[in-house]
Parts: sequence; structure tokens; C-alpha cells
Amino acid sequence: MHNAHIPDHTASAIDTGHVDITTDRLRLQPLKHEHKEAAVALLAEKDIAKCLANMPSPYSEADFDEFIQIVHAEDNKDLVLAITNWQDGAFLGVVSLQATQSPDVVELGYWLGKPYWGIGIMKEATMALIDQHFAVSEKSMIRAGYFTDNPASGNVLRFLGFRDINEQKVYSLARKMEVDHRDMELTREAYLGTEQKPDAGRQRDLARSTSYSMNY
Amino acid sequence: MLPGDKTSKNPSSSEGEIIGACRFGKPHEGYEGFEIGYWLGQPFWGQGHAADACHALIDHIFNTTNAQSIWVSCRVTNLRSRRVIEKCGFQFRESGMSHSVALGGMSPVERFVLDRQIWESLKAWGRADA
Repeated sequence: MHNAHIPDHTASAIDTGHVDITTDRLRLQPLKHEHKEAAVALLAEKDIAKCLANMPSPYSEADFDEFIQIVHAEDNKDLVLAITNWQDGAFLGVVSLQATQSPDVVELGYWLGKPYWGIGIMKEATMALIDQHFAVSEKSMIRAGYFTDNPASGNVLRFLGFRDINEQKVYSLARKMEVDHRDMELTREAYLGTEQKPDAGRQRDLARSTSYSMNY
Repeated sequence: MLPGDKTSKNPSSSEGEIIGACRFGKPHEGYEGFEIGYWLGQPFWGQGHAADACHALIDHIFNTTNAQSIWVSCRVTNLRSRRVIEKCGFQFRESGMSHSVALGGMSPVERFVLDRQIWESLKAWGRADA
């Protein structure tokens, strides 16, 4: 999740501006400047950065500006999408597929605002993105990982059909220490043969989960 | 299966045996582009073959025609087929009714669409050499 990778500067600009994925409850579109306010507000909840390797904490508007600059750079090869509620446009989190040094492999990353945890949002978002990816892309392997004290993230990956490949310590920027981390991977072949049963949470009304309003 | 679709062979079936079929053609009246359809023999369900075949069919349509969209529909009750459609990158567009020869009447269906722009963006992004 937001793991560092070494950018390949031979890349040419790729226009992913047309990516627009709609699911039962969600819409996935390229992350933009206009998401800054909502993203910074949700990331004020420090439990999110603790689940990630490279998320600064506390998280500032300058951190968002820096991230979006990288995402919009000419040589960017990462697909970084904002997750929004398609009914009211509310910003919920981010899901991304990042290029790696290996041409065949991309890395899945994601984070979700805490008010939206536990209702199947991330399963719905990642499933839709991976559906699109394996339908079209030639890159046949997706890697991902999670800190083992965050089993909800592991549940998302297993639901998608990811399997364990390795455990190691990974440094968490927010915690300023090394944390037990599980690496997982998913091949196109395995994904196509996996039956992802729609999550119970997928049937739930997202509007009810937003009754928290913006208390942050 | 399409020529050039290397991955659709079933190891449990003998070489060249037909395990199903997919096709593309004119969409229903009022829709632009093409419509695809597919079926798979029951022993071969649940292994990703339908999605694999449709991926190749979609690439073929967008690579060899100037269609801006591809349509597909499935019966509302057919959740397995719905997952195949989602795994091909289609997005839900509308509910409707469609004539079913097997059922001898109209049955409720869901219609899904794949737009060329999204396909092209992700294709360019996902090239192995990119």
C-alpha cells in the first residue's frame, strides 16, 4: 500500500484521464486537486496512515499537493483513482495500481476513510479496478501487502483471490518503526478462475453509513 | 474460441474440443456498436474460460472495427454470468426485458456496456512494455 517503488523515467506519458468505473455504490475516477480538502480531512484520522507504509502522519495539504504532483507528472505510470459515492460524489478514499520495476507486475494500494470501514467498500472498489485491469492490461501479476495487525486489509486481498507469498518487516512512515507485513500476489489466471461472491456489505445503503457527516 | 486465444484451452478437455462459444454482432435496435454473447459447457464453468474468451473477443472488436461501445446482457438471475461480464470490464447501464428462446417469452435482463475510451486508456496504460 503506497509502497515505494523506483520510477522508470523512460516511461512516456499515458493518458488515463478517461478511466471512469462505476459500481453498485461507487465511482472510480482519476485523483484530482479537487479531492484535497476531503482527503486531508479523512486522513486526520491517524489510524489510516498506521495501516500504510509511506503515508505521512500527520497529513497536510502540502503532502497531498506533493502526491498529486507525482501522479500528474509527465513520466507517471501509476493509475491513482479517487473512490467516490456515485450518488452524491462524496470522496471516500483512494485505490491505485502502481507500476513496478518488473514490466509484468503492478502493485495494488488503497486507503479508505474510517467512517466507511466495515461495509465492503474496499472489496467493491478493488474488485471493479482489478476486473478492468485484467480485462484489458497485458500486465498479468498484481502484488499487494498489508501490515498483519490490520486483518481487514488481508480480508480484502483474500476475497479477491490474492495468496500469501512472504512475510517481512516493512518500515511504516507513520509509526516510525518496522512492522510485520505480509506480501501477497494475484495472477490473472487465478483471478479469472476465482468466484468473488458479492460481499454482504455491498447490499447495504452507503447513504446510511455517511450519517456521520463531516465531523472531522 | 477465437484464433490466437492461447489461454482458453481446458487441460481436462482434449486438444481442440469445443467447450463453448462466443460471438459478436449487431446490437439490439437503438444501441450503437456491437453486442457480444457467449455460452460455456457446464463442465467448464468456474475456471475463468468465459471471461478469458470474452477478453479476446473484446480486443478483436476494438482492434478491427471503429465501434465506440460493446454491449452485453444477462438474465437478472444469472449471477455467474454477471461476474463474467464484470470481469470483462463492462459496466451496468440499465435493466430491461429480452426475448428468451429457451424460456419461450420475455425475461428480465441487465444490460452492460464497455466504452472504447476506457478500453484504450487502460490498454495503453497496461502494455507490458510501457
